[in-house]
Amino acid sequence: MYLLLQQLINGLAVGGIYALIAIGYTMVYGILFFVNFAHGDIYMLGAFCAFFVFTFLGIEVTGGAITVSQFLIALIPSMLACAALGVVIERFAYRPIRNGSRLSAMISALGASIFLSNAATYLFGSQTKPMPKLFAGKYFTVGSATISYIQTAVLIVSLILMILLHIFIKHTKLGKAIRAVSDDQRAAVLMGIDMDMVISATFAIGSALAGAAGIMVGVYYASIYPTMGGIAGIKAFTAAILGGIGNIPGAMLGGILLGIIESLGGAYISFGYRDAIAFVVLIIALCAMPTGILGKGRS
Amino acid sequence: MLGLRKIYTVLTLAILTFVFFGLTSSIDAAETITLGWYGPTSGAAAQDGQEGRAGAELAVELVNASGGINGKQLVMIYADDKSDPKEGANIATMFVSNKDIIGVVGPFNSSVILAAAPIFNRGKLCDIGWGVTSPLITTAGEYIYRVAPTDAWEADFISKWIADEGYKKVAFLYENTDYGVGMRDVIRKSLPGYGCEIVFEEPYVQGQTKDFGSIIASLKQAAPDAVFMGAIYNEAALLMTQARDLGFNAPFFGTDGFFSAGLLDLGGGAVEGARCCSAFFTETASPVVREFIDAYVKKFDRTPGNWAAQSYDGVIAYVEALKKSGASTREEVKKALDALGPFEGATGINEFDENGDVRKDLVKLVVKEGKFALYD
Repeated sequence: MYLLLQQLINGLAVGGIYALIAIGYTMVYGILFFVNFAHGDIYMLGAFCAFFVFTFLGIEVTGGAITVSQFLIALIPSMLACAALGVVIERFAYRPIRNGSRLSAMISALGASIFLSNAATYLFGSQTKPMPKLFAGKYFTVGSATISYIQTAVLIVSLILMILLHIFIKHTKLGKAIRAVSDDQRAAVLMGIDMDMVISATFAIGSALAGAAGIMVGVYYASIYPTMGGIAGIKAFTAAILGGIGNIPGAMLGGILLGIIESLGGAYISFGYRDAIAFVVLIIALCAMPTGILGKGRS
Repeated sequence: MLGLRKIYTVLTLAILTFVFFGLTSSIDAAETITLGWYGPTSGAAAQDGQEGRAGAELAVELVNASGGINGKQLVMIYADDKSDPKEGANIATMFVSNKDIIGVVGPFNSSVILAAAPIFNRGKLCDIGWGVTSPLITTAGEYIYRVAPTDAWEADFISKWIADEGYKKVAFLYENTDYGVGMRDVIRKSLPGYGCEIVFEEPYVQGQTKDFGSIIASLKQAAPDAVFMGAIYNEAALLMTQARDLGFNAPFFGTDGFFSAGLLDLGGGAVEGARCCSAFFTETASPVVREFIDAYVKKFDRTPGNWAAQSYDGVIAYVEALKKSGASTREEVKKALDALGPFEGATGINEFDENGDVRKDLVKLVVKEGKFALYD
């Protein structure tokens, strides 16, 4: 019982991160029908952006600690910078070939991804950099399970961001426009919706969330490095597919599920096969539900 | 008549060309000795790789400044394997096909040398690993040597230490690589041999697993007295940080994979009390070691770590062997290394055994107030 509860909690915290990144994949796919491979690298740059904010604030990054307000101070500019970066990437890497084949867009996305991770390696160096810790060594116990403050914080911030996104998509005009374009692009344009603006907004929101995930992972694991976007990107992409790509609640659900499956699979089968277990589950789920859990089945 | 003159001219030119190039190349060969060096100067173990490279650069500089090897200057060709076995095989092929290279120092990762070893053996080119510690390398072929003590040597040392401290229930966590698996095979025998019980044993994927929360949950349930990690500093720091955040406070033991500035930088307060061993430590310095440390600080403006010293000793092994024997071909270098006997480097007295593994003494270390200190 202890193990099950502990693994569920851990899976939730990791799943919250996957969910945040997965939202960006799914939003872009919902509108443009291609996978933005550069998304994982935006997540990485979000973490580095926070690293520089901390350095700028004069916080000791090596073995240092930060307060909640310092974390929030770094969170906002990092999210804004990632949003801007997402818009710039869309403008220069995807917009010029938007009417080309989907394959060109995918290759352009791969190129953007390689460019970003190599540029980061060149500019910041390839070594793993330390990050200051939030709530270092603090935890509380519920029954027999131990929950660290940082896990709780990661989960809470992820949930708040997802709720804000949900409100934005459901109850604002721009959110409605995004939904309209996702439903039927041609009809939306005929109704006078500014397509370019909607696409830019989609990239901005998705990238800002990836940036938030990046900084949270940075302070959670207290380390960042230029290739951290690779495996996180693949996991989040898997989460998006599992939940039904193109569907925002699906991405959230997929992320959380993937986190929990990994944790439980690791604990009850073998940690050495943890990643493999996640992908086996994905394949089985897709065989049963080809469009994902909440996918709408598009022809 | 005209035809004959033409032939004459062509012949003269040909002879001149031959003499000219023949001479220049023989001058080159006479004046320099070329070695190859490789290691992960980028990628997951970049900190260690760059430090290793710095050690090798220092060795080349000091040897050349003191007149070279029997009057010949030492030239080093460097390559980056990114901790990737595929890259290791590529680099081995590159070094073997470069006929100027008569010996190689490298790499850091056990998986990388296992991929490169067959190529070096076929090319009859000696390779001295400076970071490779997997027991599997003992039988990797007659051209494969190493200056890093084997994991078998170290794991046995740490197992005895854990038992001496009175810890009975031990958990073992290891990276799913040749390095970690090799160590696992050793401790499965050594720990019970010293009267300890292995209560938990799990692998993780090196360079990929960042979240250890679920491993720690299972670890806590096993309730060990001590944790032994077959890991390098990156994962060790991550695991200890997350373990402390989850209220797990058993002592951590590791081999020289822990002994890196990276552990202190990434782990901060969470790695306090972590124990490990090393063949090299600045505070237990003989005059030769002192000399190495002073020269390193002067050149790079930072204190050398274990890997700088090991990589330095890899180069020194060739220097000593070549000085003694005057070897100039790959075959002669192999014979000279086999006949070398004990030599003193930055990690103390080294000696290759009949398998090309090194024998040397280890020191016990502990992280104390954010620094490595002698354990007593």
